[in-house]
Amino acid sequence: MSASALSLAGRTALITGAGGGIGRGLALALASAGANVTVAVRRKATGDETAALIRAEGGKVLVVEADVAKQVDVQNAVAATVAQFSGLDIVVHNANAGDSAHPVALEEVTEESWHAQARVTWDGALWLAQAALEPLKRSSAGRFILLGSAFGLHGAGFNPVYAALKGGIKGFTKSLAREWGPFGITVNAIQPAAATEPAEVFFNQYPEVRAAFMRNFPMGRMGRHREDIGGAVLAICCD
Amino acid sequence: MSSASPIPQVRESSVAFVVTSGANVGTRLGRGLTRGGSRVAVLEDTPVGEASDGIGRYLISFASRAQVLHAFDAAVADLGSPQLVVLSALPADLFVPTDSASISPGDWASAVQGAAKITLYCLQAAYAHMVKSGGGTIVCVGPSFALVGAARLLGLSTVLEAQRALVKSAARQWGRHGIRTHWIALGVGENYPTLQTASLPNGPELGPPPPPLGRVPDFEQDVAGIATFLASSAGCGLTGTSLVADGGDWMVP
Repeated sequence: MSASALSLAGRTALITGAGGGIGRGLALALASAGANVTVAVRRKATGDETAALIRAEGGKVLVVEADVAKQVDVQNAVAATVAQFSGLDIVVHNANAGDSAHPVALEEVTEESWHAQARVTWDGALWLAQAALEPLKRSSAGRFILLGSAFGLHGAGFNPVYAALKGGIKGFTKSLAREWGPFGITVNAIQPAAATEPAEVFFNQYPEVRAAFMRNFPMGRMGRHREDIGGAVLAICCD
Repeated sequence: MSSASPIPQVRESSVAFVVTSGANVGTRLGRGLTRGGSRVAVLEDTPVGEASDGIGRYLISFASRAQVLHAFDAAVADLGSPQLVVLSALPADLFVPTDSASISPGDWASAVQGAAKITLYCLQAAYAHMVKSGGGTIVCVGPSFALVGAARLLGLSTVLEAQRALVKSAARQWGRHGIRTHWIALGVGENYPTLQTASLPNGPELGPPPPPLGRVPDFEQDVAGIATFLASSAGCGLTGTSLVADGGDWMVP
């Protein structure tokens, strides 16, 4: 593939949950390919850290404070992006609730704990899709990308809520891909098994699990945020 | 290779619960399971008929975990703990094709989060009884298009794939208690009348339906038969599966 084919110069991306972990890696990957990047974060300080890293590499970035569980916050994030960069071409829904790192017995899951995670994973996805549709229609290369999880594919004994919500993202993606295809917008999900912050929290709680779990991976490691998962996002976004 | 943990033996299904929401699915599933030799309780949120043909009927509200448990308790008091629970209960609003841009926050919350709650509470209620009685089998049923997605059915596609992942997770957690969980993807046909006008993807074969078997499987004959098999000792080596009962349309995975 030529260098120009890997360029996102002139395109604009918005990434939720980009204050750390996978989201930060994706923001850096997209910015290094030339995209203008909006970092949407719940806590501005984390977004500022990501922005500093992007600027240090010469990238263009906007930080927007947004709780993706709130529809108005998501609408404002999209509007701010379009106003700043005159358009929106790439949307990545990566934000995730912190509870996903904690083991839970399915028989003890409460409506409240389910809802707290679903508001970020599912509601955030819908609010983002609704807010981004018109700008993405105007783009010549609209991309909508959702972060699922390998646990959404094969289930998870350690946290059934997390697995179910990420499984739901798979259904969300396939349905929206069929609906938006006629608009020239592609919709895809990436199901990483990544060394996320929640995963690190879990492994720190249960260190004996780490070594056994890593044996599942032929390469002996999980997906790296910027290089591996960012690479997959670039492959989806570039021509 | 030998296994350190033998697969537990199960009792043949003698008490089966069907949990459903409207659409008279309960009656059809109930008749099929009764023919398979089970005593059947149908727990439904809309009263459809009186107890008949060996099928007991119980009103269930999905509004809270306590209310779902209450309905299970009532059925258990009459029939005993179930060896099989078949769940086919989703809010009707999910089956109405809608542009994603037109979904209101209220509709999304009531239908999608509501459906998730139904599944969660029913799994928990089934677990509560099965864990005390030595195990059992839980089978969730949904339309098969969920495997490939359908335009303008965003909420339903989301919920069904979530349900499938939840069933796999339940299988991982509860297998040690002798509880096995499965998901059946049922062809649409006349099983889901409100989806017949939806723009569902055809199977991958070039050319028109019908599926290879010439008919779309149904609740009464096919789902009941598969569920009875899964709950029997013959099915005790299976858990966490997604079985596609669509007459051979998709043949995936």
